[in-house]
Amino acid sequence: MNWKVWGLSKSPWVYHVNVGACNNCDIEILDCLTPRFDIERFGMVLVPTPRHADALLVTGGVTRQARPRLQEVYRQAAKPCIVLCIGACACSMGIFADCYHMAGPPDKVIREVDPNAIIAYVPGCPPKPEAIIAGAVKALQHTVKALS
Amino acid sequence: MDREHLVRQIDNDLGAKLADLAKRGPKRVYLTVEPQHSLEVNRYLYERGGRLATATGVDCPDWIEVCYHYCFDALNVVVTVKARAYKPACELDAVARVFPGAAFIEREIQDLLGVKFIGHPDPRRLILADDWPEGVYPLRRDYCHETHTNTGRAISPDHGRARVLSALRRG
Repeated sequence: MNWKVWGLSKSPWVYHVNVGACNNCDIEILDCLTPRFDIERFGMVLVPTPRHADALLVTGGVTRQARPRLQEVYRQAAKPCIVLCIGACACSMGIFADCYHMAGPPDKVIREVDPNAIIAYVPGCPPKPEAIIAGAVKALQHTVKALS
Repeated sequence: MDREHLVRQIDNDLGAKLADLAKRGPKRVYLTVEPQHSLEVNRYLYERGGRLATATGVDCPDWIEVCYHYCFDALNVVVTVKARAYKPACELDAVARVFPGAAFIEREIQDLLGVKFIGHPDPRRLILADDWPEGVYPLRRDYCHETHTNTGRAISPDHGRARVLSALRRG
């Protein structure tokens, strides 16, 4: 296990990117930080810049306007970086599929920049905080196993 | 003062300028106006204390209908001004000239339906993406989702209901 993967395996720092969500998924992400769920006990911290992040929490289908921004945020994040697509829209565009203002789901948009991006999906509308935590933990375990 | 009183006053003051005055339901009044009278009718309702709740647009076969909805809260009545912007120019006087509260919703209608508001104080693009092509209006009925263009195809008399229903039946 090299030091980069070792650094990723514990206390992942997350950066929250809303690229066109209706805010329900964002509220559930904030719920994860409240004392009831308290993801900080796992060492997860919401950081204010993608340069400090180990994981991107992406919510919403990507709008045309947000597409270059999401790609820029992904470029800025330190690699290896896990992308968590949170919610039905981020997983599969949900009800916004084929809308005129949509550029596609986040996984497609990010793979345009990095075809080997590590992407995990947490479905739900919105997903429960438990689901988000479970998704993050599973994504981490799989990533660490795959990279080491 | 009640709805009947308000309607009588509107009819009295504006009668000649209205193409139609319709009462539908106990709380709704609809005024249909031609584009040259739109500004005057809107100004009248605004000065009578109407609060512009919002404006909406409808793509009709020969014109785009911009509906300004004025709430008269004390009377529990909504008066809607249906102004017609005739194709192909789709021009209408900007109500934002009278009061600034109409500016943003008129910019949105301009983006999505392509109505040109004459004399608008700030006619920049509002909600479409920066890379959206000029002159393409996504909420017009002839907008094609595959090519992202307005095809210019005429609206069918049933407003596309038959096409949608047959697509639903096909699954």
